Amino acid sequence: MNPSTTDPQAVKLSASFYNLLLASYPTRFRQEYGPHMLQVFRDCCRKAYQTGGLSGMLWLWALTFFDFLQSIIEEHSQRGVYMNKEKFIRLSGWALIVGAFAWVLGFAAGNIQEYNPYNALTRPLERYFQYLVGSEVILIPAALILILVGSLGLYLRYAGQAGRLGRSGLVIAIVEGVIALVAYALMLFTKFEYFWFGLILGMLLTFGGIILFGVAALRNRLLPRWKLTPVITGFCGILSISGLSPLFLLTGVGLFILGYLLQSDPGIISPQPATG
Amino acid sequence: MSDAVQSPQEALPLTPAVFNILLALADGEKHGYAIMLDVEANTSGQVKMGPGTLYGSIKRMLAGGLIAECDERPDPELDDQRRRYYSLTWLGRRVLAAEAQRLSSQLALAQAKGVLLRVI
Repeated sequence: MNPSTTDPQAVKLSASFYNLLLASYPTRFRQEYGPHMLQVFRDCCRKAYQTGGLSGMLWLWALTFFDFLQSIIEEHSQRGVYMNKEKFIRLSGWALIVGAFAWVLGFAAGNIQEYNPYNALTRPLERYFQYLVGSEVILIPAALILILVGSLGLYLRYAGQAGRLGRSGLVIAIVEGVIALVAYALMLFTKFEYFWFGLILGMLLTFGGIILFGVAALRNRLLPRWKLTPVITGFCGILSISGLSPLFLLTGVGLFILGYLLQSDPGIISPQPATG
Repeated sequence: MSDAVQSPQEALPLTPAVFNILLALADGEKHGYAIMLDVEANTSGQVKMGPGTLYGSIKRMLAGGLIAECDERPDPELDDQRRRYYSLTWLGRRVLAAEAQRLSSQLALAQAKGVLLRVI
């Protein structure tokens, strides 16, 4: 009898959900290894269920989901040809530089919007008000997209040396960047304002991930100069989103420096040795 | 890893995942889940690999010629025939030995500098 037919419901459900996640891997990798990965995951589920029950399954899912995020980035980044990797890292550096400007301009537009119509100094801005509103709505998501591309570049450049903490930080930054963008798109299209929380949380955790990467970069001496930049950028990003708006300028400077470092030093890219 | 590894030194240093997979296969061919369990047992649970890391590493090790897929399938009475079994190649064994030697040299250096005494 096929053992999968006698599995508990929790194991069956988990395996079905993992099967859905497998669809995110590159097609060739999925076709070659997908069934085996599913089989191994099912074996792990059975063991976790037998030894730890549902809490064991939850712990397994936490580990597996982290593994999924790491390996999916790895497989997608290796799907391309290696010669493209260096180019992508350079481009992601430029993306961070442009993103820094978009971030600063977006926040500046947001601050100017808070004008007082009775104030003689801000009154001349009245006719430009709608354009300022429009520019913030475009500039901040554009900055988010560019920071996301920059985080991908940081991952490709430093994943090998950043250790588990650094890699985790960058994975968090990438995933949360995607979540923030999805929340923003949903907020725009559904007009359901509670997606605002998803956007803010995603942005906060993106910068949180950059802080983690910064700590790992300090520990492992990854950056040739301006070593505190990722940590300072992360903290300033979080504080400027949380209400200390003037710090958006420092965040922009930090993003600019990170972008400059990336595009000027994409690393020596060669076909990787047998690394996991 | 896009091409086969030409010499053991070219593949060094190995990541913990690759080193532990090679070590798990050192005493005979195994399938994916058995490798995972072996790595967990060998490292007292310190290295836990998910299916993504395991098969991502296996893919690169196959491409590098460090491991090979076994043609022979086990007795269906004893195991699931759908499983794939992997074994070390001659190159894989040499890479494993070279990495073990490299780690051993580092250990000797740590001992010479008295680092280990502080750890213990």
